[in-house]
Amino acid sequence: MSGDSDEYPSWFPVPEDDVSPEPQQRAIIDSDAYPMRVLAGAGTGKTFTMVRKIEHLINEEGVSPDRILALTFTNNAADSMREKLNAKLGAAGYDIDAYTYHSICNEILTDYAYEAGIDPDFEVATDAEKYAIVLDVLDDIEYRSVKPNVYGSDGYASGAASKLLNFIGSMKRSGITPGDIDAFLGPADRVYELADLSEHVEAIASDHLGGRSVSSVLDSFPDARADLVEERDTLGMDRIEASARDFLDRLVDLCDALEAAFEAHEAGDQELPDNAYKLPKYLLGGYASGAPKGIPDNLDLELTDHLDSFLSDCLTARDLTAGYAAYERELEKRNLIDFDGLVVETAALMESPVDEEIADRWDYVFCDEFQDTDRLQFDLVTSLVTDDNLFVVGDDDQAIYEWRGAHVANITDELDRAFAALEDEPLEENFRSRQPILDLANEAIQKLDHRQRHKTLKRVDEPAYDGDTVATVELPDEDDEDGATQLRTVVQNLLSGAAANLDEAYDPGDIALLVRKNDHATPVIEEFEDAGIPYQVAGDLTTESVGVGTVTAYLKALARPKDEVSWNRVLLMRYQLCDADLRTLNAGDDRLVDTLRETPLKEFEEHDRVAEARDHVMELLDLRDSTSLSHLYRELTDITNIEWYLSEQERRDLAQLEDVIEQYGDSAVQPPLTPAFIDSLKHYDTLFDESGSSPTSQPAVAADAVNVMTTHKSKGLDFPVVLIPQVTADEWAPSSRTYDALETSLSDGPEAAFAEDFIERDARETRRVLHVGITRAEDVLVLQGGSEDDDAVDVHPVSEMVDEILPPRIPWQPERGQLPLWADVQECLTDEAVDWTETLASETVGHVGGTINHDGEELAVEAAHDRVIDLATATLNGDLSSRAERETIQIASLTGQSTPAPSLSHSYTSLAAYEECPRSHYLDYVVNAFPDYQETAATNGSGDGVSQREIGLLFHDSAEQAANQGVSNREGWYEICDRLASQRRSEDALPAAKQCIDRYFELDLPSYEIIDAEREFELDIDGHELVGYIDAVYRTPDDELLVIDYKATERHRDLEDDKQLPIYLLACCDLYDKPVTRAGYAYVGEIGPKVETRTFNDGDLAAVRDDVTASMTRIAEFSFGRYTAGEHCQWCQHNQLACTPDSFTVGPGFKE
Amino acid sequence: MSQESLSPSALATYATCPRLYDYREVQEVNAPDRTELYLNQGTIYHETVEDTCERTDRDDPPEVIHDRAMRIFDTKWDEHSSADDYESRAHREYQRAENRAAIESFFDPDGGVGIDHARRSITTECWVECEVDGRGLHGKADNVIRTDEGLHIVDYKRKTHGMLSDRTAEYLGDHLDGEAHEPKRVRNAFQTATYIEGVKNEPFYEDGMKVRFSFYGLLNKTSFESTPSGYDVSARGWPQETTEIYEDHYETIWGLIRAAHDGITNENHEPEPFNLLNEEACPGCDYQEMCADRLSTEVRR
Repeated sequence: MSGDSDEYPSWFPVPEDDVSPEPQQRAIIDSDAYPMRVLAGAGTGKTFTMVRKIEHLINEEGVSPDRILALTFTNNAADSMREKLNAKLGAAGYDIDAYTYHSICNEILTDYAYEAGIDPDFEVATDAEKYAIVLDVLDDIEYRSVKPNVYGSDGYASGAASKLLNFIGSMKRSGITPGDIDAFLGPADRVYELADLSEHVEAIASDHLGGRSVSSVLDSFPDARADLVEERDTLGMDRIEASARDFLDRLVDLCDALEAAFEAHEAGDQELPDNAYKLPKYLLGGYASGAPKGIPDNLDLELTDHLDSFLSDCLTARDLTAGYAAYERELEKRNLIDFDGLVVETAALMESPVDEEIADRWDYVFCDEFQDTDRLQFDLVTSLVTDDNLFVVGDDDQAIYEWRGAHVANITDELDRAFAALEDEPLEENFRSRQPILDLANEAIQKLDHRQRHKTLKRVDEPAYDGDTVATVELPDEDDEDGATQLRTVVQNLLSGAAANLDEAYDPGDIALLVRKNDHATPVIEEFEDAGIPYQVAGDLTTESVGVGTVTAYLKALARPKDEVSWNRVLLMRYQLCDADLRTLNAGDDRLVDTLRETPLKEFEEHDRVAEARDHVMELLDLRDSTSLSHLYRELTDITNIEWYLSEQERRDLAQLEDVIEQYGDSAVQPPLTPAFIDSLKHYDTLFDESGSSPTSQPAVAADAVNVMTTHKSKGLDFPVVLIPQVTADEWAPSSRTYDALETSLSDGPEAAFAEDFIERDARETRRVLHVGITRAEDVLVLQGGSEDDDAVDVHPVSEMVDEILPPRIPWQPERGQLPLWADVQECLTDEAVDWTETLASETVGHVGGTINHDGEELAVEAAHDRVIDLATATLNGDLSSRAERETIQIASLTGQSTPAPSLSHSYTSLAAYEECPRSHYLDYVVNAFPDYQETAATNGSGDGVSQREIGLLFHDSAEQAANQGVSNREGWYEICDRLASQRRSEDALPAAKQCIDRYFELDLPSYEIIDAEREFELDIDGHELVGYIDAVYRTPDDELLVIDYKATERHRDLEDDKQLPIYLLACCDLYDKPVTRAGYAYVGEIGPKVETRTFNDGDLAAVRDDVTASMTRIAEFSFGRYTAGEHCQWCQHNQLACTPDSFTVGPGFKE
Repeated sequence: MSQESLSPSALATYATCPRLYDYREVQEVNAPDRTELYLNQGTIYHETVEDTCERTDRDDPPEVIHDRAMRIFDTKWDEHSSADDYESRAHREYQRAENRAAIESFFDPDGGVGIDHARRSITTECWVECEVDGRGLHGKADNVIRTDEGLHIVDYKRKTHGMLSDRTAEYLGDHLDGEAHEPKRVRNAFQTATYIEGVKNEPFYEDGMKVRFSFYGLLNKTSFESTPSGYDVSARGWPQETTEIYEDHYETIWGLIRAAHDGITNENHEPEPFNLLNEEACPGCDYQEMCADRLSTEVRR
C-alpha cells in the first residue's frame, strides 16, 4: 500500500504520481456527489484526478475494484490508467475494468453474443476488409445520380467505392441504419420531384422580386410570399418532405422580415443602403450568376444553395443506401463487425431485456475525454449507469472530433438533460504551460461563439525560467513562400540554445511541430532533411522516403513477381547491382525473376551480389504463400538485413509501414502477402486518410527527434516547445462536409436540417483545434502565420443591413466561415509575447550545424557533403589526386549543437553485457550501433539444428499466453505452442519446446495460482533506470508470492551469487501490495525438471542494489575505448572490429 | 545515318525521357499491370469506326451506316471488353454506355461526321512509311478519306483535350530548346509529320493532292444525366486539325524528329536536361520507382 512506504529502505522506488492533489482536485476526489461532471481545462490533471477518485472509492469507501468501469478513448490511455491504479493500489488496480469505448463493446458483445443475435466468434473488420467488402457490393448501389466509375483521373478518391465508404462512415457513426435512410427518403421518384424545389424557389424570386426599387419590390412581396406558401403546402409533414417544408417556412419568415424592413424604409423609419432592393431576389437565389452589382461577392448568402445541397445529398443517399445495406449484409455473412458496428450492436443490446444484467456488473462508471463521444457512445454510457453513479471528465474547449461524428453537446446539454441531479466541478489549475501561453489560450478561446462554459486556465507552481515564452513569426510576403525555412532556423536556434532569449538548449525530442493539415508538414520536413535535423512523423502523415520505398518495393515484387519495376528497385538499391548486370537480367523475354534464378552466375559481372540477391529472393518467394504477412516481413528484414541500408531517419519512417503490416488482417491468423495487400497500400492514403485520424489512436512519441504530427494526434501530449505553422485564415478555413444536413435531420428530426449553419460549427471547431495546439506547449510556443488581406476589415453596408434584418430562423450569417485567425492571435497576444520574424526565425545564433575539416579547410556541412560526393566521383573515374587521398575528413563538431549524453536504460541483460565487455555494451546499449554486416545471415543457425534460443522463446511465449488466457492444462499449452510455432515457422523447435512443457507440468508450479506473466517493470534507482520483465509470479498454497524465472537452457544458476532474482524482487516492491521475498528458477530444459528458490532478505536486496548501482554509475562513464576480448567475442554482433581475437574474426554464420 | 525506321510513339517516348525509352523499349522492363480498360476501349472504338468505314459504300443511306456501326460496336464490345478490367458490372455498363453514345453521335444519320468519314474512306489501318534526311518513320493511319482537294488522314482518339493546337504550337520550339517539356504535343507533331509524309508514298496519292491531317476526339464531351429510373449518358466529338501547324512549324518539328531519332539510334539514354525532366517527366512515370537517375540525383552516370 502506498502508505506503507516508510517500511522500506529509502532507495525503494515510489509510485510515479506520489504528489498531493491540489485543492480543486482534492474537492473532486473526496466528493460523494454523483452524477458528477468535471469540465477540465488542458493540462489540469484530469486523468490524474479521475484515477485518484477511483482510488479513493476503493480505499476510503470500500468499493470493490471490479465494480468500477473506467472508459477512455485510446488503448494507451486505458493501459496507463490501469498502470497508475496498479501503482497506487497494487494488484487490486488490475481488477478495475479499464476499457476504451470500443473495447468495452467488444467485451460485452463477446459475453452476450447470443442475446445480441451474433456469432460469438465474430471479428472486428480491418480497414482493408472494409474496403474489400465495399468493392464487392458496388453493384448493389442504385446508380442514378452517383456515377458508376470506380476510379477516374484522380484514382480512386472520387470513385463510387470511396463515395460509398464515406457515406457508410458518416451514417453509421451516428447510428443511422440503411432502414432509417430508406424510410426518411421514400421512393426515388418523389426525391427527384423534390430535387427541383430550389429551382422553383429561384423562379419565384426571379418572377416577383426583380423590381428596380425598394417600393416596387415591396409591392410584389405578397405575391412572392403566396407562391412560397403554396409551394410549401404541397409538401408533406414528415421525413424528407418535412425538412424541405421547414426550409420554405424559414424563407417565408425571411420574406416577412424583408417586407417589414422595406415598409419601414418607405415609411421613413429605416435607412437602407444602395441596391438594397436587389437583396430579396439575391437571397432567394433569383440571380442566375451570383451576386449582382452592388451586393458584395463575399456575402455568400444565396440561401437556396443550402436546400439544393441537402437535396443533392438526398439523391446521392438514395443511390448509396442499397449499397450500405449490402455492405451490412456482407459483414454479417463474413462474421465481421466494423468499428462503428461494435457500438451500434452494443447500444442495441442495451435496449434488450439483458440491459439491467449488463449494467449491474458495475456500480460506478467513469468516463474520460467525454467531449469526443458520439451519439451512440452517449447512449451506451447512460445505459451502463445505475443509480446515477456516473463521473465524467472532459473539456468542451478541446472538442476537435465533431467532424468525425463526435457530439460536443454530449458533455454539456445532453448530460444536463439525461441527469437532472448533475453536479459540476471545475478544474482550471494548470500544471503544464507557462502563464503567458495560458493567457493566449484563454484569450483566443474567448473568440469562440456559443462557448458553453467559461474556464480560465491558471498556472500553479510555475518553475523559474529565463527566456521567451510566446513567439510569433510573420510569414514572408511572397505568395509561394511557405515559411519552412523560418521554422528550420527557429529549430536550429532552439537546438543550439545560444540565443540570449532562450532559457536553454532543447533536444530534438523536446520540440513538436503540430500541423493543421499534412501539406503544412511537407515543406518543413524537407527543410529538416536538408539541415540534418532528426524528426519523426506520426502515423497519419505520409512522407516519401527512399528507404521505405525500397522495402515496399520488395513486398510488391514478392506479391507480384511480374512487377519488374519493383525487382529492379530492389536489385539496384538493396543489392546494388551494376547497370550491366541489371541489363542482363532485363534482357530476354523471360520474367526477370526467372532470369535471376536460371542465368549462370558467370554471365554477370558481380557474381556475389547477384548470388546473394538470388538466394534471398528464392527463399522469400518460397515462404510467401505459407506464412503470415507479418512473419514474411520479419523474415524479409532478417534475411536481407535491409535495415542496415537505411538511414536513421528512414528507419523511423519505416515504423509507419510496420504499423500497417501489423494491423493487416487483425484476426487470429493473419493472411499471407497477397496482391490485395499491395492494393490496400495504394488506397491507404486516399481512402483512410481521414479515418486513420480518429480519437482512438495515439502516436508513439520520439524522444530523440522533432515530433511532427497533426494537432489532432497531439491531444493529451505535451512538449517543452511547440511550433504551429501557417496559422492563416485561408489555410485554416473550415469547409462544409457532405451529408451534414441529412445526417442531422436523420439524427435530430427533419426540422434540424436547416437549424444550424454547419460552416459556423466547423469554424468553432477550428478555433478549438488551435486551442489544443497552443495548450500542448510547456515553455515555448511558436506561432507562424500571416494575414492575407489587411484592408478587408470594412464591413459592406449591405452585409450590415442583412445582419440586422435576417430573422432568427435563418441560421446563416453574412460572410460566414471567415476566420481571421492570425488577426485574432495578434489581438490576444500579451506584452510578454515577442516577434521572432527578424531574429530567431531569420538567422542562426552561434555555431549551428557544425563544421568539417578537410584538406586544411573548414567546411560547412553542406559544402562537406558536396566534397564527399566529388571525391567519390573522382574515385569512380580513377582521377583522385594523391594528395587529397591522404587527407582524412575530420568531423570535429558535426552536430555542433548540444549533444546531451544519451539517456541510458539498464536491464539485467545489459548489465551482464557490460560485465563481459564494456565496448559491446557501448555499441549495443548506448549508441544502438548497427550490427556488423553479415554476408549471409540466412544461413545462420541452419547447420547445427534448432537454436536453444528459439526453443526458450517458444516456451516462454507459450507460458505467457497460457497465463493470460487462463489456460492451465497441458493440452491447452500444447495448442498455444503449436499455434505460435506455426505462426513463426519454428516447427523445428516444437518437439523440444513441448518437452519443456512436459517438464513444467511435472513441477508443483501448475497447481499454484498465477498472478502475473511477463510482467514489465521499471525501477528508478538513484536516478538510474532499470527495466525488465519478470517471467511469472505465483501465489503458493501458503499464500506466499513467488517470483519465477523459467530456464529452458542447460546452464545451472548459482542462487547464492545471483543478481537477476534480487532485481526482480526489488521491482516487486513497487508492483504488489504484499511483500515478495522468495524467488527462484524453474528449470524446464534437459537439466530439469526442478525448481530452486531462496529467500532474499532486505540486507540481500540492499547489497545487490548497491552492487547494481555501482555498475550503473560506472556505465555512466561509458566509452568505446575499453573492451575485454574473450570467448564471448564469437557471439558478438561487432566481432569484425579489431578488438576481436583473430580466431573469431568471422561472423557467427561462418563459424565452423 | 541509320536507316532504322521508328514510329511516332517510340520517338515520343524518347522525347518524354531518354531513360524512359531505355527502360520501356530497350530493356523492356515490365511495369506493374496498368488498368487495361481504356486500352481495350480504344481498340473497340477504333475497330468499330474502321470496320464501319470498310463496309460502307459511297452511297449507303445514313440510317444503314448508323445501324451497321451500332451492330459492329456491340460485337466489338463483347469481343474486347473484359469484366476483369472493371471493379463492378455497373462500372463496365457505364463505360459501355459512354462509348456507345460516342459511336451513336459520330454516326448520327442526321449530320453525324462519321457518315461522311465512312462514305469517303479510301483505306483504314493504313501502314505508311517515309524517310526524310535519312531518318525513317512509319505508322498506321486510322482512316484516309478522299476529299475534293485530296486526302484527309484522321486519327481517332478518346479526347483531344490538351493536344497540339494553334495556341500551343509555340511550345514545340521550347521543347526543342530544352526550355519546356511538352511530350504530348511533340508526339502529336510526330504523328502529323509521319502520316502526312507517309501517305505521299501510297499508291492512291497523286501529285498535287492536298494532304490534311486531323485528330478526332470521339468522346470530347460526355454528359451524365440523372433520372429517377437510372441515368442517361450522351457524348459528342469534334476534330482537331494540325495540317497548318505542321506547315508553319515544319523546321521545328523535323528538328525534334532528328533529335529523337538520332538519340535512339546512337543509344544515348542520358536524361537531359535533367532538372527539367526530373520535374516534369518523373512524377507520372511508370519507372520512377526503379530509376537510378531519379533515386540518387547526386550520382550521375
